Amino acid sequence: MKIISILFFCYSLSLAQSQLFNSPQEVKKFADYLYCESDYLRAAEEYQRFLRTDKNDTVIFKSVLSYYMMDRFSDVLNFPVSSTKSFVFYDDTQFLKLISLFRLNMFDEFDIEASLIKMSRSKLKTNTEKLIRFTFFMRDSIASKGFLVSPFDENEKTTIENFYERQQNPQHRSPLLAAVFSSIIPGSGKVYADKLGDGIFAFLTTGVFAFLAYDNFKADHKFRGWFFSGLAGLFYAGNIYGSVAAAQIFNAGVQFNFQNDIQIYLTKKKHYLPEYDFCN
Amino acid sequence: MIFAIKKAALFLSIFSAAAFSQTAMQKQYDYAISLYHDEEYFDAITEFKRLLFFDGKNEFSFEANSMIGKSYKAGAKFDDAIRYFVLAQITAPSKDKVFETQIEIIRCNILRRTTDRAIRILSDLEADPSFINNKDEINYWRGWALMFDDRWKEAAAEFEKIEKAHPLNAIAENISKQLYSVTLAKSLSYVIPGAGQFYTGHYFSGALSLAWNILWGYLTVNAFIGERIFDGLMVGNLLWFRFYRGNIQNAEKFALEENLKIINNGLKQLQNEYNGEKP
Repeated sequence: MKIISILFFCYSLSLAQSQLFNSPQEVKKFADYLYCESDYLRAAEEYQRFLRTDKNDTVIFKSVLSYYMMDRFSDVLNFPVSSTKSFVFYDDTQFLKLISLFRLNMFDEFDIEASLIKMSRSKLKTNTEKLIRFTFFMRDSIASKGFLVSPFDENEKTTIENFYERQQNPQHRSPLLAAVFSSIIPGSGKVYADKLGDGIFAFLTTGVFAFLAYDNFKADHKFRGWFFSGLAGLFYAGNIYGSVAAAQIFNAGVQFNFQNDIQIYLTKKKHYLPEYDFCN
Repeated sequence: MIFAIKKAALFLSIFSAAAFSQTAMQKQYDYAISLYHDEEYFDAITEFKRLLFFDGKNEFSFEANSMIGKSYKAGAKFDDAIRYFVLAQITAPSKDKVFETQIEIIRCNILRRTTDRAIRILSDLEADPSFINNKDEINYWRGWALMFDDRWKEAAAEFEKIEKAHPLNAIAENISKQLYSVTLAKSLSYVIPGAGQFYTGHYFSGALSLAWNILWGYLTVNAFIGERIFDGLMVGNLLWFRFYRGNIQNAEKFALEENLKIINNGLKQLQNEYNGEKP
């Protein structure tokens, strides 16, 4: 009997070896290894392979998290997960989907998802509230300062207030004013639109051509006089047009920098996603 | 007697279990290799990584890491490839394998255009007495690195060290001769506006440049002769000087563009016509 047991054990071991790479538990172990190696694409594939035969909440969440880590937000959104609270990572997955919507600039869908999270009494409600506030900045929507800073702690409040100030009082340049300035003093509109070098160049060029025109008319060189008058007129008109364009570019830059700073800040804060330590 | 049979059966069972484990590893390796040969590089990497993960005795460390490196390289992911070649190098079973892996790292560096790094590794290999018999191979890859660094003349010299009639020597030498000197193109245009463009074969542009410079030069000189100093300064500065400078920049641009064409044609020729080992 003893011998039969040992023989049975040995043959089981042989059989186990043949299944070495394909048993669900080994697939999961391998997937975990890939995940910790930051090879998220392969990890996600292996987790999917595991999920074909087994069910595990952590594996489901790590699959979604793998897609999120690769910035594959559409895959995060399309990943089929249980919509019941019995799923251990329900709140976390919903929040991951919310961040994905934010990062895809799908703000209408974001609003729906955010209200669902708020209603479901999620443990990540505060994080959701914080993210909602940032959509106001991204969409350039109006909201009171108190409302915007309310979910943040003291450390963050100053930064959020700063963002609020920048949104309320953007340092825009008026294209009309730039045009008026440049029509009075050539180049001044460009200086107003923060293009000092261009302004000085426009002033000198227009001034020099105007002087050359005047000088040639005075010396009775009519052709050259008209030639330089034409050039001066061209530079004068071009400078007005350029000033309007410079003001518009400046404004676009202000908006771009504002949104860029928000993105940088949120990236630094990891979009308020909690830290998950699956590798230690 | 019965005891002996029982003992033999037990021994056989334990032995077969251990042997099966080996076979499973070998099978996994063969499977990954077949994926690599079928150019399924993504899957090949996954399977080699799986092999590494389950290979508790590290028997396949060198082969698997090396093949992962090759797969990444085939997918043009050179940074990842180098990472795995370095891991392979650490577990290399012999000096020959170390050399082979170093050459793979050099080839990746050549392809990702970090040629300085490639040349540095080659110099280290050259200085190592263990690789005294691999001089030709070192010179060969240094030649390739220099070609990718647009140093064709130096590359030709490296190939010549291997063999005077080396086919790459002739190709590199030929390309080196075809290349235009950017300094000469600029200098010619300094002396005679448009001459740099003529040198690079852009005759119309050269003639146009010369004509503009003659026109604005004439007007400037004429203004000074007519004692219209301000006119002279303005036309000279805003028009003549602008066209003169433009002519020099233009000559430089043409020389660089023509050189790029020659180099690209050369690399195309190497890709399609050269049958030897390539990075």
